[in-house]
Amino acid sequence: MASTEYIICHECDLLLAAPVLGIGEKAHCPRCKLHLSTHYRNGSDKVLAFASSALIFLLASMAFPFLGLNAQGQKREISLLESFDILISSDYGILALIFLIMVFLVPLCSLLGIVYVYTAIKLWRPWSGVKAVMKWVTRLQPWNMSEIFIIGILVSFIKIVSLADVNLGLSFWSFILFVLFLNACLMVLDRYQTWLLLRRLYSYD
Amino acid sequence: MTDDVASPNITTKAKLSSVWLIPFVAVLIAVWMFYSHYSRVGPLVKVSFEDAAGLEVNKTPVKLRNVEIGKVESLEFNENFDGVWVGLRLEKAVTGLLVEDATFWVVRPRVGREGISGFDTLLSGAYIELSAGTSDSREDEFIGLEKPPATPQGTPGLHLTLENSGNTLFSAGDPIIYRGLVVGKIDYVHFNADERKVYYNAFIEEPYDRLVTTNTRFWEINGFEIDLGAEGLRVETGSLETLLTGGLGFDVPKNMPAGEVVTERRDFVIYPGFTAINDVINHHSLEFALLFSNSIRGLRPGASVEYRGVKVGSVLRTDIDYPSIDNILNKNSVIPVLVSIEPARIGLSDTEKDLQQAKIDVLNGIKQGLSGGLATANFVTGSQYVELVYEAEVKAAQELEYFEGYVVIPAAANQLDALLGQAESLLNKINKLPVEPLLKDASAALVSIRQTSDNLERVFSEEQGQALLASIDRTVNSLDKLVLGVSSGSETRELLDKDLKSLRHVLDELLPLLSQLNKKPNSLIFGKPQQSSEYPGEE
Amino acid sequence: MTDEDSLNTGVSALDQGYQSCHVCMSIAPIAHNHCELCGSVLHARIPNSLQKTWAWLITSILLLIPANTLPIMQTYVLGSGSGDTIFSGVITLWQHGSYPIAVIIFVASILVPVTKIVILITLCLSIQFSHASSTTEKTTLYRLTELIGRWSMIDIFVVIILAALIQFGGLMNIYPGFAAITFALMVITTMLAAISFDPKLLWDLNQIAVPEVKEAVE
Repeated sequence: MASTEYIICHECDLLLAAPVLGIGEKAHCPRCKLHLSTHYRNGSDKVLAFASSALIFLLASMAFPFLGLNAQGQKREISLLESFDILISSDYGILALIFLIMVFLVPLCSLLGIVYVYTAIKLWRPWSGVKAVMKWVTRLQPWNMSEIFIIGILVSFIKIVSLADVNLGLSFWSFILFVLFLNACLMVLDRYQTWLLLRRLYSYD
Repeated sequence: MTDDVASPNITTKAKLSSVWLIPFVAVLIAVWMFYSHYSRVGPLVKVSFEDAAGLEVNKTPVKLRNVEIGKVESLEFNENFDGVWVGLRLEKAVTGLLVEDATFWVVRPRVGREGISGFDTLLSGAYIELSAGTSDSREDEFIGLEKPPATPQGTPGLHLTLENSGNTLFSAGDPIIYRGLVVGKIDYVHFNADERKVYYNAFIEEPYDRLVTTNTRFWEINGFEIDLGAEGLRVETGSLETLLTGGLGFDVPKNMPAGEVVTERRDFVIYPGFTAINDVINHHSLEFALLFSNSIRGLRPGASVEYRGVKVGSVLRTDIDYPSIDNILNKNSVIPVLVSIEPARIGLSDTEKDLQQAKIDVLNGIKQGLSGGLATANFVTGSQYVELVYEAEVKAAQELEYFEGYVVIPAAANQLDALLGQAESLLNKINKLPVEPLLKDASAALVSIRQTSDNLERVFSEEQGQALLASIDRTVNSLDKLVLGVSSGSETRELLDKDLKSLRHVLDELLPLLSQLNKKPNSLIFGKPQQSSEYPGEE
Repeated sequence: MTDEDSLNTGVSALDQGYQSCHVCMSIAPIAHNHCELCGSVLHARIPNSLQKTWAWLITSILLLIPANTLPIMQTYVLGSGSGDTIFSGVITLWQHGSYPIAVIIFVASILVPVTKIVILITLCLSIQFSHASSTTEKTTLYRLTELIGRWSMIDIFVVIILAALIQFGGLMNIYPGFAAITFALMVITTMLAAISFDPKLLWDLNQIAVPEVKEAVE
């Protein structure tokens, strides 16, 4: 099989010769200009480093108060996990579920998967399920909304400021760092390159 | 086939890339976050309350002087499900305040006799207030107060523990009064089930706390006190406030020194009334029984036992609840009265040694005829007291009797009985008087009196008597003339007027001298004082 | 081997009897049902792409109506509640002078979903009626819907954060309104519509002009 000799643009179905990318080079579809692949220097190292950093900050953001409010002498602090509680207790379980999945579970599962896949690549061990995990990581991507949540926080922040003093907790900063690293990781994680590596790892050629 | 085309640049070498600094820094930051967060986490204490009304996990704040110092972290039932344990996460800074006697209570809107409090929590929701303690030993489990203490936190003053005398139950917020001035409050009421006693935590505000000395005694002010005792009717009223609510008064008894000023929490006993604090409390007393065969109506416990008008003890019991009393309706039954005699009141000291001495003395007295009788203290109220007297006729070899283990002081006759006895003997004496000869003498005297009056009648009816009357008439006439001569216009009157005028003239001249003498009696000797020194220019 | 050598680059893969895996991008002959590398189901075009897209689009339009007419947020001040719809919220923010926030909410909650639905309808219609012009622009529009679609969720997160934070006993409480659910579902359905849409279909319209290539492959 010569699967690696060709690539098909997944938006316009154009058959193309597989790009051989040097460090820092990008490949685009000549017809629809779709970005096909980028070869990053130390790509797999970067993916793993960013993913693990993001994981650390995601877990840290669960542990502390997220936002604090001070209105008319009343102080109130919530952690991220408490906000689920409040939503569930006010009969908005479906919102809590959407929130939980899109802001936490999708990024968490993606990151764990990425760490698993890239550890396997890094150690060059064909562990079981690596491909299935990578498949799910790819599929989950559109549903990751953690960066939108950050914007949501900022908007609500501005909305509340006139009502009360808002203090940002440690979790907030931790969450910001998590989102930054997650996006850095997803940027460096190149689908095409990853599967090329996996193809070699599982000796398909 | 593909290795020369597709993947020449892909390295799988285990070379440590500089990108690994990022997760390393991430770990450092995360560790720092955990450290900085958990190093600020303060102590967790548990406080028990009856219920958790208004308390919410992670929401209800804990405050100290209205500064938030923590939050309710957990709410759980206690083992018996009859209360709740409220877990409080406090700030590290207040760790030092969590000592044994620190107190917690829930501030929620309350309307009570102490006024309206916690009004601000109506909107904001309840919070838990901490009052720091003064003890040194750390504690992390507390029993929360169900009501806030009446005294605001941190008020300078003196905390006291008062032991109730048992009559009136006071409640938190009742005033403590010193000579009509409210100087403190009862903070809270604590019932000790083991001792079956009520204890009060009282607070005396500064500067009045200096009034509390070691000899201070507290008494109940019941607002309106009527005492119908052996001394008669006594009515006492306090201030209007105490009239409504009652309160506690304190002072040093009249016959005692003030003692030292109390500076630390101390225990005091509450006396039942103002008069009670002045009673000398003797710790040693002898108990005797008196057996009366006549009525003891009017004798009450607490009535005095007197000897020649001096109080030597008091009546302890007048009831008949003794095992040896079967039926007091029996004709020959006696009514027991238990009395105490205090050695300190009969000239001895209030010691164990003198107690023995007193006992010997009293027993000797009994042998010599010491007996006790009832005497009326107040004829209006009919209250009685016990009067000890020495029986005039000593029966030979007075034997000691015992009643229920108490030495019996023989009963003397009632004062009224004695009076009746005296009246009887008086009548007897009158009966025995020699009345017949006396009556004969008297009739003879009457005869001679009649003769004398007859003689006088005769004198006035004769001529000599008429002459006497005429001369009296004459004398009266001349007196009349003399009075007319002195009347206005007469010569004598002119002369008298002239004399009076000259006398007034003399007196007018003498007046300045007399007034001077009156003001400065020594001016007759030292002369008039110089006035030049005051106004030199006028000299 | 030989047939692969004869593959023409720069031509539609389907016409040459090849398809690429949606997950791992490896290519395989059309006859293959499963990707030999990642095991995903293979298909040259998303099956029933247009129908699925239409279905999701109609659902999202239906959801858009309650999402904009019902209150998205209930604010209780001292026990008396008032509901804010998305639009009234934007107006309130504008009146209070929070122009940037008003613009953000307006764009994210009203402009983006509507634009996205309009774009997808246009794309679907152009495929439906085989309108082959300006395919590159259409592809760009499609990419735009994929890119901006998720950002509509901002308002939902704002509501969630406010509801979680503003819980002040009797003083002030904020609860999510029913529209929050329908709006969230609307965003999800438009995203599903975008995912269901296969942009290759746009390009297929252009391929009709070169049927000889297909024949050459076969």
